[in-house]
Amino acid sequence: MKAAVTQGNAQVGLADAFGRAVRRYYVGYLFILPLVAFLLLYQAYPILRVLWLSFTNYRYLYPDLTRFVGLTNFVRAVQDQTFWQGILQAAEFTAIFLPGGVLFPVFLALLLDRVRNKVAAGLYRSLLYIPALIPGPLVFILWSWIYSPSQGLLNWLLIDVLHLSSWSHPPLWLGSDAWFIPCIAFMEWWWGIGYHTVFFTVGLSAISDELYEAARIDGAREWQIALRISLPLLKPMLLIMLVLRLSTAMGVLVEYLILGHDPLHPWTVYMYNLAFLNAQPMGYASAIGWIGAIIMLVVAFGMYYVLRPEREAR
Amino acid sequence: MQIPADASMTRPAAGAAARRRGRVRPGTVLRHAILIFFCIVAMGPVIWVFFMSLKSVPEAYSTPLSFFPRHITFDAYGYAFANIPSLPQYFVNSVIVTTGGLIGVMIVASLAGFALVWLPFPGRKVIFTLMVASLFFPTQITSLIGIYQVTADLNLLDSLLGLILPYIAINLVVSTFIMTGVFRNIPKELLEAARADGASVLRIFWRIMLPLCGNGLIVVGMLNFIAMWGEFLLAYTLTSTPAARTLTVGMAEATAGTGVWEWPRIAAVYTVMIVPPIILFVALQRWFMKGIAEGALRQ
Repeated sequence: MKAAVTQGNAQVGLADAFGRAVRRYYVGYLFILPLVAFLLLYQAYPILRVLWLSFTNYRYLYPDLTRFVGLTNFVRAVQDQTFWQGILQAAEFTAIFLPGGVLFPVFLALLLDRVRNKVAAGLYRSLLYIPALIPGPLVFILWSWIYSPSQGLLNWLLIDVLHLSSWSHPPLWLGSDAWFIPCIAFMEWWWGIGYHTVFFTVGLSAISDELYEAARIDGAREWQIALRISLPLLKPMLLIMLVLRLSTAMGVLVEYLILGHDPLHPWTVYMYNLAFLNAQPMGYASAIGWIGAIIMLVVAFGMYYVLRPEREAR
Repeated sequence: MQIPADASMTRPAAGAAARRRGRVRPGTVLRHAILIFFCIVAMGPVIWVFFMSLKSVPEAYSTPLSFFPRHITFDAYGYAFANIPSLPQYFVNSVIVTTGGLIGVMIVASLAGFALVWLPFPGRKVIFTLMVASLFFPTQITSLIGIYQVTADLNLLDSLLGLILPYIAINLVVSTFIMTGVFRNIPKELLEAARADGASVLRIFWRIMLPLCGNGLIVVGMLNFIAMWGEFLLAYTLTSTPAARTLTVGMAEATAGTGVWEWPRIAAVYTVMIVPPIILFVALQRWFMKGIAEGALRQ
């Protein structure tokens, strides 16, 4: 009898404590509620739903036929040639894009940082930022026109201005298998000129002038200063950018949806077509989505591990 | 990383010694040359499209192609919005969805950012950690199917609200972090003085914190505006009819160069699309930079 009462008291105590916590912190919870609601609804739940779907044979148009199929989808995905070729496509794109797209803007940011003329610096900054102000998909649309064999800016430059080719056999760019991925990568470089330069100029501006002054007094040359002071201090930001861009590059999707070119497509497009076109085997598509996501995570963590700051203690 | 409040971000000392000698160092010339070259590369495509929109249809297709229009005409703009089917609808949809999303994310991110910094409550650290984790998980690709399901379950497929809600969520975590950065920059004494004066939390938030983080809100606003205005994936996947489709999707599906989408016309629509972010940035640049200096990017 006494045990039951004690247990009853404990339960009441817990509920009481919870009630007190809520009453005391209710403002905090109120403020944080919208955020939590949105994140639950559009981040947490969708991921879990997709995970659940990957274990079923769910098809959107025939929901009643859904059955739990365990690991069947995953086994099938691992054996799916199209999927793995798609992963290779994404990897190829990432490899071409990442160095120029992220590392080159560091160079530009360093140059920009050194400009002493305020007016010129402001002008350069504004102009270089412009690619960053254009939303991604619009950048892709723009470049689909630039790459147009007959009307595009690129061929006009090549043929009419530089006379490196001719209108009878203009380069096909997006139409050719060999050039397609580099074309997309170069487009992203252009976008990076704006986007990443912004980040790195902000990062560089945080480095105090005194460091530079001290180095200059010690007789260091400009390029030495850039290499030994600016760069190392920029490394954390560079690392974050590299890892983040690595992730998004492996998951490249919208570029292909807009600039599309069968049969070259990365695994994300494969997943997209499976999920939203034709027979819509969403269960299988979900499995592919998860395997792809895990690969992306592994690669991202791998890069982070290789580049992590501790290694700098040489 | 403390960012100086001086938003001019230039280095006075570089090359100062050379200047004193009265000679321009070759390094400086090279530096400017490279920067100018890449400015041209950055601007080139945008200006090309703009000039294209100013050409008449026959001129756009005549050979030899030219960069500059020989005769400037704004016909393409009028024609595009009067004659291309669904275009005005697309435009209105884009405006509605972007505005709704912007208002939503600014409200939610400010409230959450404030709470995470100034309102200690149990579970705060957990939420914070989860948010950071979510930044590294490739949500867009994997959860796309899930977001589609959620929208379908809520009966919001092919609707504007069905786009506004996920739009708020896209950049919510980053936006909240921007706001926490800004809120952290506000001195604690201010809050404590207000509390000592007996002000309620809501009052403190509304009258003190919010005005002080105005620049942070501008940073959030710009980032989200660019993301939402040109968003493609969700708009394409979650809608199927012009009733709810946005301009970005309309442009992506347009067959450039043919039919009603002849070059100057599609260029005109494109220019209309990219002008708002550029103008907004130029106008708000000062406050945007101030917002960053105030700690928006502190993490």
